[in-house]
Amino acid sequence: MAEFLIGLGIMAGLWVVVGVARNKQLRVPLWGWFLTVIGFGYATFVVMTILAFYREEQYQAILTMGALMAFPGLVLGVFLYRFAFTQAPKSRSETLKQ
Amino acid sequence: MFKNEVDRRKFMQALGIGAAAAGMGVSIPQVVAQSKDGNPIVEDKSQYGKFLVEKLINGDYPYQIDPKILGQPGSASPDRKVFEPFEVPEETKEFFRPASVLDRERLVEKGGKVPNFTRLDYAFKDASWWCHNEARGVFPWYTENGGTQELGERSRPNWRNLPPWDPQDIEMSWHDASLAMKRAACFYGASQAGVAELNHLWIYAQNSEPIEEPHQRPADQQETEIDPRRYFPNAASGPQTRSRQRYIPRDLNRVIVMLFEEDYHAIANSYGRLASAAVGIAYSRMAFTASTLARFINHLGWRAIASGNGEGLSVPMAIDAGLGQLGRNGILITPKYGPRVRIAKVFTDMPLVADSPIDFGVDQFCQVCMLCADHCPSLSITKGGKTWDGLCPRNNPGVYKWYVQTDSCNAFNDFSCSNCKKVCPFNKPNNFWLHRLIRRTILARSRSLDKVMVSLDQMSGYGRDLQAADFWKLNPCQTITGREPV
Repeated sequence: MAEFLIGLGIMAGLWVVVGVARNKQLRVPLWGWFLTVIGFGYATFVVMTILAFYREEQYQAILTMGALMAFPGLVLGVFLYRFAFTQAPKSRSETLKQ
Repeated sequence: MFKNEVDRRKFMQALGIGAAAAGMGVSIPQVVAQSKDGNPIVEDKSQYGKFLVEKLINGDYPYQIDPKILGQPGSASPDRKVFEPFEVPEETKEFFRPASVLDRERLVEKGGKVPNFTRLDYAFKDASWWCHNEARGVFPWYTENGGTQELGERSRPNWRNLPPWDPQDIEMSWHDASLAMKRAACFYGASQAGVAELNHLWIYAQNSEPIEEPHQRPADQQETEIDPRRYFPNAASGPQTRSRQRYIPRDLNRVIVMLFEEDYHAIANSYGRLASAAVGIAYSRMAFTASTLARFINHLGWRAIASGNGEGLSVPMAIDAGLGQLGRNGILITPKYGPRVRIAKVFTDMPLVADSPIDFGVDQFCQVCMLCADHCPSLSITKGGKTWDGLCPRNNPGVYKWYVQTDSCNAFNDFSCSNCKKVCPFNKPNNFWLHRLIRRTILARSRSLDKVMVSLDQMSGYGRDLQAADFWKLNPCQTITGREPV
């Protein structure tokens, strides 16, 4: 059940990211989407690992391994937010209309 | 012009196809590769706990022996109490006192309230050994009238006067029969079983059939004196008297080796009494299972001798039977249970098909790990390299391995410590996909990767003590074995 909920949550998160990108008309390059999918896959891996450690009652492992594994995910998230999910530059016609 | 925007529908389709492909990718068949020597590399969750295991089918063994030093078949040092002086570590000095003193102090003087050594823990431990201690007679070896050589003669056609069973009678091959024997062993109570051709090098000297003497000795053979100095030049004690000379006949050329898993949580209590209980209950299971399997083989008209620790060295026989490898801590490391096993065996002349020895990277891992040596309270495990020479009289020189100071190991805390099992990274329950994922990397035999694994293992808090008070609060269904998901 927990695995199902985690999978559902991750898929919902991905859906939200795609929706936001469309609504805000962000121009996301293909490599950005590729890295986003990898990032969500990695997030799944991290959450599942933490869940497994919890079930094994290895609470120290949750802290140390969780911190270790979350760091690359955090770096990837910041990188994508800064360089991939950026506002598209306004076209010339839009600028003229204003 | 390249359109940089992504259609959401197509993106989701691609995602689904990618996930399906990934799912197919992780579904790996049993034989996954071949080694440089042409040996198959296999994986099997049920038998090898997802380790990638190299099967040594070319007649190789995962150990090296020097026959000149090891001697003739039947020269292995017997399991006898001959002690040499050894250095007692200052930190754990109190645990080297005699068992009677330790027990009295914990149970009487301190009222049975010492954590991990309470009266509850002591009673639990003693009860777990009961079946083994009371039922020594179930090993035919120990019966008054059942010397090995005569047991062999008496047991063959005795059962309903039938000739020895041939599996072809019911269209089975000997390979199928071997599988059936292993199945029976697990049915009777073993955790895992394997078959090996019996190498008489591993039989203790006093149990090996002398070549020059006739096969059949009189059952009421006179008492025989054995001088331990014959085996240990430095032994202090003089000749010892054995009640009877009994030996494994040379035509018993197969051995069925059985593993008995010890409870993961109880071993984590080492060196408290609960770890001794885990050992004790495994011994009790050994006594019951080995003797029942021997009786089963007897009823099939073949000779069989059940054995626990006696008669011969269990670890090399288990290695020959493809059940594991020797670790730095001097005990068997198995793929599925790690070092957390006890070993029993049944010698037989039934022509079973032997299993191949295996290699799953224990040697390379133990070279860099050192956790068992770091956590050994009696300093019995070496941090050095492998040698050909033993460290104490009870070692058998002539095998290239990490020798263990068995005398100090034996004398510590009434021979009741499982620290080397508790901290071993191979000692993980088989219930977590991440453990299984990491196990697959061990065969890569990368020292740096192995070091990272050991560091992560320690950072994650594995190998820590489990207090007895916490053990008693565990879910009862969880305490039987840690091997399957709860």
